[in-house]
Formats: sequence, structure tokens, C-alpha cells
Amino acid sequence: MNDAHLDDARVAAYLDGELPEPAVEEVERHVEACGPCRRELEELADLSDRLDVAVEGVQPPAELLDARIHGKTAGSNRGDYLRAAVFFLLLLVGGTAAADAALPGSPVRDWLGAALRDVAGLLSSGNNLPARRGMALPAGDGAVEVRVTGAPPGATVRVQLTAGDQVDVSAPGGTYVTDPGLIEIRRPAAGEIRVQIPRTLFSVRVTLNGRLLVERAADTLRIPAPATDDEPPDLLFPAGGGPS
Amino acid sequence: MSTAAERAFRQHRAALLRYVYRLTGDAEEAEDVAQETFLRLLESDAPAEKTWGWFCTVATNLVRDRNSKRKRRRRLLSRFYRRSLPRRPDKVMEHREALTQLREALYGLPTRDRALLLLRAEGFRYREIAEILEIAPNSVGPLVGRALRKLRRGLAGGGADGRGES
Repeated sequence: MNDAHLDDARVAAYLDGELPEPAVEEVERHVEACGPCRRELEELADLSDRLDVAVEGVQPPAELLDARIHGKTAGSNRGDYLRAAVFFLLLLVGGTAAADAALPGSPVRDWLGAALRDVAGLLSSGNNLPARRGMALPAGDGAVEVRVTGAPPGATVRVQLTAGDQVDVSAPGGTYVTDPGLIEIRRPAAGEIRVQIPRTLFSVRVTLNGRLLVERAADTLRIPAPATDDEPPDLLFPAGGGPS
Repeated sequence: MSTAAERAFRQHRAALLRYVYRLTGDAEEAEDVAQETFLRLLESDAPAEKTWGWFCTVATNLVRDRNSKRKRRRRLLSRFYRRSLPRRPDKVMEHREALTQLREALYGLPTRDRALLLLRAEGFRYREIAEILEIAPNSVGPLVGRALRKLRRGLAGGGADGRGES
């Protein structure tokens, strides 16, 4: 009369509707009387639901679905990296963060040198650069976050303000994960990650390896991370040394 | 003959790419596996009659073979993902963090467990999952239960435990 506690098999089978009716009744009878098993069942049911949502958010980049199945995706984009190297100028964007960064002995000078070396290395290596892939997110009326994680040294994030109505992100290599209001790029290759943000977007933040690069809320624009300015309104941020 | 095969492949192509992408976390690998699956389709009898389950079977086996050949260490996600700033007391942000951690935990599982959970998410029944993964039908339940518990442990532990591909 005392039904056995629920094991892995019965919990799963019950959640997935794989149990025959008599067994279902047994499980429900037991769970009515047994607090720990009821909590276990509820927890795993909740986890299972959240897993469905989490999986749903893992979507392939658009290029993967568009690419012809008999061809390979596009090869290197040397032109992009060349441009990044040629237009390396010191930051003149405005705001106290930028002013502080430009002072002698500031971190800006140190990593500027390192960033130039990285890009120079990238151009001279002559290797086949990984294909660029992109993802777009309609801006909607909510907040948008672009999150880059696991970016190696030699990766840079270029933030551009555009006239469009969607957030466009493209990167060499990497994995994309999306959620409402979020694009995440994981482990891009070294190279330029481009983030294009509509000017009209009310609330946006861009992070790189856990570091906040740009945050805009209403009419306040914060640029806490040191950057070089290409040509306004571009902002270029390097990933810095060491894996995240 | 090849037109029918192409039609069959086109029908499942997007879903196949999505499944393999979710399984491996790698777009290039997803494309390679999809291409190889198409070749297998061409080489098979009655290509036009292959079910979605058949595609998943072939693709899952291809991924497993590639894993065991390369003995690749898990490189999908950074296990040291750092939070950017003190969290906003914002429901949306909390929700995103939770989903991110759950995905981290998912990609911390061995491939077989992840395939199991992804096939389950695709809506396959246990009997079908058993066929695709070539395991005994009555072992699916215990494996699913165990995989969910591993996932929960992965979450509680604050991230993946660095186990390699199996």
C-alpha cells in the first residue's frame, strides 16, 4: 500500500507521459502522501519547462540556414581587418570616462599598443580567417543587450549607431544565442565583431567578456571601457589579454 | 531519383541544421553534418520515404563519430562566464541570467545526454529516442531522469564541471 519513492525512471516517464494509466495513478497516489517526492517531481517538472525555453533560444545564425548546402560559407574578410588597422585613432568621444582614459599613463595607451600589435599580427599571418556570421534583432520597444563572451585577444568590438530599426550583429565564428531583447555571441574568433544599433533605440547595453562597453538609457550614454574612435559615431573596443 | 531525395532533404533541412547546431553549438559542424547526412540520404534506398527520425538518427551518429575521432575537449561555452555588473533588480535580466546558466549546464553534459534531452525537446517519444540513439527502449526513462538531475546539479554547482565529450 505504501508505494515506493520515485526513481529517475518513473519521474521522467511520468513527466513525459510515457507511463501507462495504472502506473500514473500509482505515482500520483504516492506523491499525494510523500512531500519529498512531490517536491522532487515539481522541481524536475519546472526544470523541464525551463529547459524547453532555453533550447528554443538556441537558434542557428541566419547564414547557416541560408548557405547553399553544397557550398562552403564565405571565406576571409581581409578588407575588414585592414580597415580596422588603418583607422586606429585616439578616442575623442567626450564624457568623463573618455577624458580620464586619455590622460598620460592611462590604460588606454597600454592596450592601444597591444591592440595595434594584435591587428598587425592578424593581417600578416595570412591564414584563412573564419567566416563571418551575423544575427539581427528587431529593436522593438524594450531594452536590448548585446553580450559577447569568450572573446580572445585580438578580437575587437565595433559599435556603430545606425539609422535602421534593428540591432545587427556580425562576428567571425562564434555561437549565437538569442532571447527576447538579447543577442549573445560566444567565443568569436579573433577579428572584428560589429554591433550596429539604431540611433532611436532607447535602452541598450553592450558587454564584452563581462565588461560593460556601452550603456544607453534614455538620453544618457555611458562608455566606461576605454575605446579608440574610428570615425564618429563608431567606437572600437579590444578584447584585451587573457581568455574570459 | 535525386530530385525526390533533394525534396526530402529540403523538407527537413532547416530543422536538421537547428537540431545539430543545438547539439554541437557549432555552425560549421552543423553544416558539415547536414551535408554528410544529405550524402547518406542519396546513398540510401527509398530516400523520399525517410522520416524526420531517420535524419536525427544519422545526424546524431555522425556527431558521435566525429566526437570520438577527434576526442575533442568541450569547447562550447566559457565555463568562467562572468556577470557584467551588479545585477539590476530587473525581472528580465534575472530571467536571462537563469536561461544562460541553464544553457551552460546543458552544454556541460556529455553529448549523449544532451542528444537525449534535445530529441525529447523535439517531441520524440521514448521508443523513437531509443531507436535513434540505439539504446534499449526501457533505458530511456532512467537516462532522461538522470540527465535532468545532472542538469540540476550543474546549475547548483554554478556552471559546468568540465567533463569532456563522451
